[in-house]
Amino acid sequence: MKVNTEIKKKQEDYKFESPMIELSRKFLKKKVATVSFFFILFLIILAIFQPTPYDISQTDYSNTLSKPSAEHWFGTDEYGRDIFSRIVYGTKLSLTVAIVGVTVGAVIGSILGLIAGYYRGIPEMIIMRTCDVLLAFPGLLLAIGIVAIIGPGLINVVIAIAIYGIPNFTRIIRSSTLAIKELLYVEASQSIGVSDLRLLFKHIFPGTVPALIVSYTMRLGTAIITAASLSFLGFGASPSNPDWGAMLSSGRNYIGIAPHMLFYPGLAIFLTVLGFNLLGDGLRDTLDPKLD
Amino acid sequence: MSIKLLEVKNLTTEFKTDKKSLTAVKNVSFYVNQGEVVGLVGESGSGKSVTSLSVLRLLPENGYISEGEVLLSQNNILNLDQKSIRNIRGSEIAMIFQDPMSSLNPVIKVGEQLMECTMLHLKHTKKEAKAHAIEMIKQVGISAPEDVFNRYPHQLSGGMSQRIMIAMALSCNPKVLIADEPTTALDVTIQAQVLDLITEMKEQSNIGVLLITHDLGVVAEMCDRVIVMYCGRIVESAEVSCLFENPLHPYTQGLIASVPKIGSGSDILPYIKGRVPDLSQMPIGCKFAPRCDGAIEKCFIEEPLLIQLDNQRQCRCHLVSERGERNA
Repeated sequence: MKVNTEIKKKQEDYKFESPMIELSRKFLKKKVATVSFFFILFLIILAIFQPTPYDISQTDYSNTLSKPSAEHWFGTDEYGRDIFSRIVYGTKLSLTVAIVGVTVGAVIGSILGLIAGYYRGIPEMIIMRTCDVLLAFPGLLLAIGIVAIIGPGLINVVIAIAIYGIPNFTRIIRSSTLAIKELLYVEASQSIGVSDLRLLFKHIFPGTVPALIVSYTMRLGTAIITAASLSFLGFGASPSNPDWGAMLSSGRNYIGIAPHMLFYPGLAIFLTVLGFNLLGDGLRDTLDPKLD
Repeated sequence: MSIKLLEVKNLTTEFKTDKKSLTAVKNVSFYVNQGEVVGLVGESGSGKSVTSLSVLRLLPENGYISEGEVLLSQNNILNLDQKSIRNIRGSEIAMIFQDPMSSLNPVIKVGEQLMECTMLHLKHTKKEAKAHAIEMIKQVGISAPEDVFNRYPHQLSGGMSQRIMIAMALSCNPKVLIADEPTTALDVTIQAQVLDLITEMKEQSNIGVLLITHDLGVVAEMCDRVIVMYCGRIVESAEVSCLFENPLHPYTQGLIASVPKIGSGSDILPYIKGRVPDLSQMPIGCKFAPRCDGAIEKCFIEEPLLIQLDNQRQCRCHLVSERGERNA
């Protein structure tokens, strides 16, 4: 009997939880971050399914600038278009622009950071000094400059956000790479003859992922503000597009008589950015084993 | 006639610093035969690890080999380009590191890391590599190999990790295995198991092992020949029984005397006074002279040469060579 229990104990020892489950349990303990996570999930669902009660370009001149009511939850704008529907549609625009832009920036930035951190020397100098130059610009000014050069439009806003994000990712990934490169397991893989490319992407890159995830989430928030600011200034989406920034911009003229035109798009931007930032904070606490 | 698998000739390794270059290893020559375990012994900072890293050409960025040859099956690997040296690492010559827990990549499953080597060098397909990996895990004495295959390194104990490292090092049938203090980070009970495993694997595949350690107990247990290093130089080399019975160099004598003995009755542990000199402030004469009890005037002026005493025995000491001359 005793032998049996011992064997059983041994088998139990072999059962380990996947790290994913461990991490999600740790994450779910953080209330604020969990709420932000579900809020962002909700936004994504909104963006995908587009539950708009009215057509976003359907005008109603008999009912312009009306206050929020049961019929129009967030009121109507200067052409009588339903603001709620436009904000829901704007979710899709904002999230797409931010996600695509930041993803492109993260991919390019990570590759540059890995190269700079791994090879050091001249490549590092060129990459890092270029990043310093880009980071020396006040944030929005750089984006405005880029859009001024390549012209307005949503695609160009995406490009501007991508370029604007590259130096941040490069710096973060470079510093992680520098730390990981010195670890014994990298030397151990070198000692069995692993090639540079494989070493970089299979052994070093995964170690930088926690830092990457955190900064990616935070950058999404910043990117949404940047996109909205560009649209507000008229560099981004055209005013007919229901972009949050563009809606703020057109509402500006009616701030005295119809403040709801500014309030709801502003609230949408505020909540989304806050959500991404709190989520990023929570992820950092979860992924950094030192912060326990 | 045993075959010389690895031969190092006059290896000198230097490190560039801001001001000048420092010599970490100077004129080191030794060889490892097939089926032989050669111990490389010395205090911290005596150049043991730098020697082994030089052999694999894995020196840090500011280190370079300024002189010498490393012959692996008669080919000088110092002349090879990066790609060819990469092909040799793992397949011809493999290494086990001091700390097994940090030698494994924490985010990749153990099995996958084991597969890497054979897929790289033996061009195994995924399926073959997996079968081979499981076979290797079994060979290093781990029960439930399929289960361990799917684990992450943090789910293994230290001894198990070192077994996995050994499995990884041997998975491509290298001719030479360099073990850099393979048992330092392990419990005493596990140490013996790991050493047994290395011996067993050596006998099975008839490889040569270069065992780097500062533990003389391990040397006595495992090695056929011993090389004692001090300040990047070989000070004595001999067959293991000779060395322990009749150590010639005062440093070797000191090392052997420093091994604590149970039941010796003394409260004070014997030790070698002083410490290893800094690389940038090397004494002019014999590097050990400042710490040597028997040092004579000559020791402080002139660096002794490594003298071949008989077939297997070398020693670098004025006292020994003068004694030898007097006897002759």
